[in-house]
Amino acid sequence: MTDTLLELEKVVHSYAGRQVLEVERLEVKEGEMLVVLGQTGTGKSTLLRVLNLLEQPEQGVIRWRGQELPANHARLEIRRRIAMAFQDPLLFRASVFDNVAYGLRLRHRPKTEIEEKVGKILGLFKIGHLATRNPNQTSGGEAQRVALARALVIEPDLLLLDEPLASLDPVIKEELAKDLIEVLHSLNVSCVYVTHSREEAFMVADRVAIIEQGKIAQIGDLEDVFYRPASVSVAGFVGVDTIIKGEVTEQEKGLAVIRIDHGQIEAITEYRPGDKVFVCIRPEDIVVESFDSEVHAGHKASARNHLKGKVTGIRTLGAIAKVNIDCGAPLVATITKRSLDDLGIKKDDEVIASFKATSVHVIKSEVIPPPKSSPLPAGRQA
Amino acid sequence: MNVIWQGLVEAVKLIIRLDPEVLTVLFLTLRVTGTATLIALVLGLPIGTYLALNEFPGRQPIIALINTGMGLPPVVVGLFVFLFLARSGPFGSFEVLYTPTAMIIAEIIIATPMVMGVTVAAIQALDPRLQLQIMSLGANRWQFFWTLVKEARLSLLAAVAAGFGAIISEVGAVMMVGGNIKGETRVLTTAIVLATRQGQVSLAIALSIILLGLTFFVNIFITKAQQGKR
Repeated sequence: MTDTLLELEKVVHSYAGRQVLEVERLEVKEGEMLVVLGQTGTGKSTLLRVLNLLEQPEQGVIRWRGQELPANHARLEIRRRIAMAFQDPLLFRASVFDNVAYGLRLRHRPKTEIEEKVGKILGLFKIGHLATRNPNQTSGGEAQRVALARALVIEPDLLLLDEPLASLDPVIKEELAKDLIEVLHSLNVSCVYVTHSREEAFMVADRVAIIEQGKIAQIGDLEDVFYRPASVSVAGFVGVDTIIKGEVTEQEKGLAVIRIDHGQIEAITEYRPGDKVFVCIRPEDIVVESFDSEVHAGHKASARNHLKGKVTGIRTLGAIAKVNIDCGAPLVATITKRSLDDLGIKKDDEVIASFKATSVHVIKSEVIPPPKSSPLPAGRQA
Repeated sequence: MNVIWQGLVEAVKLIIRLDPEVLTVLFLTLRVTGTATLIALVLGLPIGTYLALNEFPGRQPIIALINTGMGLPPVVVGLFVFLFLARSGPFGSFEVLYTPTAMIIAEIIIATPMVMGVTVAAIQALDPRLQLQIMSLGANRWQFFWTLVKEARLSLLAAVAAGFGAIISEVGAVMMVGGNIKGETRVLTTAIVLATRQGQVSLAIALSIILLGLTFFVNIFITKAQQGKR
């Protein structure tokens, strides 16, 4: 129990009659970086307000270090152990120093302590030289550093971040993410980091919670959630571009053969023959080769899966290209732009898509009870 | 031109001499307008902030009423304060008519809607996300209010300047409820009216210059507070 900082249990909250949050259980552990990943309008910001004790949920229990929260008026003390920063810096009309000193002044800290702590945190965020500037004399990245310093100067137990890097350029974003994590570690601050960006989640997370329509669809270590998503919708959200419906036909010591339309896939899974499943493959795990019938006649490789298909589309994103391949089922692979050029792949070319059995994640399709009136949509049929 | 020149000379003499009568008028003016401005702020800032931040039925009519109040004719205010404070009126027993208190009451009624109305607009003009940011940094209710007021200070100090300017230059209402009694309720504006009527033009000009100087002086402070720490 001692290592759980804040805990929500059976928390339900609504706005204007619409339920926006339904959290069965959520724990924030001491010293961890928990990323809450979800699309816009899925209740992420409401969750943060509840965690910040600024919004009283309609139902449920909130515990701080194992203790149930006191009545509303006595919460300030605990609330003051928590700080929050947002996507926009929202700085005050005052110097950088005064902005950062704000939280300490609210807590009536002595002047010498304020000067020492503000100086220290500005140093940690590498903005000591900005102390006397006004917010309008800082760049976007600098202003966000000020905002984060302002939240962290009080040395909170818990830092809440609402899309803190979403407005920044990729390079600045990466630098700040790195510095932020260093500061959090050096101050031993737990952090709940809300974002819609899985790149950011990848950069910072220890654990990830996927939130869908106010509910936590999956929570676990970063690798677990990204490489072993618990449901098809989570898989789609964490960047699994290839999700194919199939059925297990063979099973031998954890290596299964799964029949899909026009082919089969080998995967590491315990599911039994007859089980209906979804096959998930991350795009970076798929290797693309141009198809040459002579070469492929005697071709051997360690990857268990080789699917022949036709390129249906290529999209380049900077140094990376996304290749859509129709192998009976649609596959998406990411390869470097350079490989794309070397292979000379064009639309409608025939290619071989290969991937290891260990790169395949299998989700058992849930049995969806048939609705009373309309028939099931074809794609969801179990 | 000669008259005006004489007035200027007279004004300088009065000011250098520190004429006791002029000083009395000057201090009373400062006391009445200062007190009224302060009370208007104490009433206007929190109520205006509350109206800006909270939704409740009847809020819009109240704001409309306040905005109307910003343009209240001072003479009408004077009339009603007079009627309420007159011996036969509902508050006649307090016997404050023709005292500085009556003048302060009238000026509060003139200045408060100005402060309140501008506060509503100024607080509403702030980024609404700032409220959550302030609370999430650990502010209590009072600190929350004070931070918002500080963030809106550019507009709010303009309101203070406008409110103060309106009541220091006010004649009609203070004349009606104060009575322009020498040494008791005579302020700069009413003294100017009287001097002009009595043909003491140079005295009237001297008092006008003092009034303008005083307003300017106060506005220097307000502007410093407003622009100083941008």
